[in-house]
Amino acid sequence: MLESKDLVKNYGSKSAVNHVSLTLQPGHIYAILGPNGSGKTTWMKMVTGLVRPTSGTILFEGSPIGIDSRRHIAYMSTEPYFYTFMSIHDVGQYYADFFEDFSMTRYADLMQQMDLDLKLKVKTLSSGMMAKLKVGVTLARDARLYLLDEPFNGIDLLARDAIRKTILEAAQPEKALLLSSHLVEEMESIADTAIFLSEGKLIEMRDLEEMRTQDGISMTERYREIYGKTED
Amino acid sequence: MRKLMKYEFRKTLPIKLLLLGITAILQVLFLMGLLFNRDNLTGLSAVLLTITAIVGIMLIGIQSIVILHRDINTRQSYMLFMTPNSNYKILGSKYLENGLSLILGSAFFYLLGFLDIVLLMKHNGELDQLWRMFSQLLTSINQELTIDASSIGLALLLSISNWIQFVSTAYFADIVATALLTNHKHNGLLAFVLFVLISILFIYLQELLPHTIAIRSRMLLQSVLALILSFFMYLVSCRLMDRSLSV
Repeated sequence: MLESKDLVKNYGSKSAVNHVSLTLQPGHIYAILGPNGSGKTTWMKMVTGLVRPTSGTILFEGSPIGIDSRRHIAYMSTEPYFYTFMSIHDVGQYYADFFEDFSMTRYADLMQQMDLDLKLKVKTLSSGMMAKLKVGVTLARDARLYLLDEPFNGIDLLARDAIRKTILEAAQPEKALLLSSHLVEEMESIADTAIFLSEGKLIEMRDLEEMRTQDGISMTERYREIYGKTED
Repeated sequence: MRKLMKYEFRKTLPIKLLLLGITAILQVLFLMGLLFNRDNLTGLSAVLLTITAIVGIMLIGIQSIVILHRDINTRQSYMLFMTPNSNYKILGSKYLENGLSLILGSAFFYLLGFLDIVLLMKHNGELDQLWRMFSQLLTSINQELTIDASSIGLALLLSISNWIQFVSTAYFADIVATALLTNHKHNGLLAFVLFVLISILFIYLQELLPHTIAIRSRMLLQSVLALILSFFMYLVSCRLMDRSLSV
């Protein structure tokens, strides 16, 4: 579905993403993990086309990413990005105007589940409400690939449960989801594959079930092994 | 494109509503001055209406430059650049929305000004004489300087095309600066320096136009040159966005 081939992004002399090659397949939920500055967000932004790679290629369903891939890839940034003059309803209308796979009905349902009034102005939202809005508007798309950057950031426990449920509902055999989060234990209950990044490099990509049965360790334990060692 | 323009219009709506509100209040004051023979009120509101028209048109252009800067330098950029639209459409919608706003805004203020002058002349016969004297004075300076529909049309075309070139140059300078210094706090300064340099270059290009031709022909040539340069900057900006712009 998505191939990242030898992908590099440099900012001056600093390498944010360093020769990352990986493939995402439909029917999987990926957890992309790593400490701050490991290149998760930059990699996702390159896949979405927001950031231009220094070198390397990204193919979505065999074709280089571009206008067409944006029709099928739903990206949720970790930072708020909506126009401040908009209401929650306007945000949905904006997505409906530009994305054919967006369902206003599903959006309204998700907003209701998350206790968000469609009449509320974006500029009045708390960080928790904003986080719910970002997740809701992204998952109201019937995309083939979802990239969610820190979807649980700033969200209370109950809303987190609602988001986890919505994410799991969005997982279909023909779709792929990729999530980044610092809440590694939380991700363990959602993802089936882990991608570990460090200092812009791909450390490993593992099937979690295989890791548990073959190595006898969980994703959280593997995380501690990799990054604990790096921090020592 | 239509949907992109709709949101570009939404972004600029508050300033347009504000301008419309101020113009409406001043126009009412102007009419009250005429109705109640209060020359001071008529004069003051006429001056303020003229200032509002000039500043208003400038504000519409400047605001569109500020919006573009925000649209390529803040997180808000994701709203535009994650949609399945080419950079040609995204930037094109900005050019079209701003160009239309400038044309319609200028036409609105010109028309309002024309109506107010007609009202003023009807109300005060002496002004009618004064207007004719002014017109004769212009003709005596140069045979080509007459106040007729084609002169006003040419002046309008030149002022709008020059203003479109001004806005296009600012867009272009901002896109080049952002492509070179992505997310850098000083890219605004670089954009300003580039804007000044490009503007100087364009003044030099305008000076290359023949001076021996008639004033009207020169005005027309200047307008065409401004529009060609604007279109050229649009094409180069889009190409640059495709190749190098990260948001």
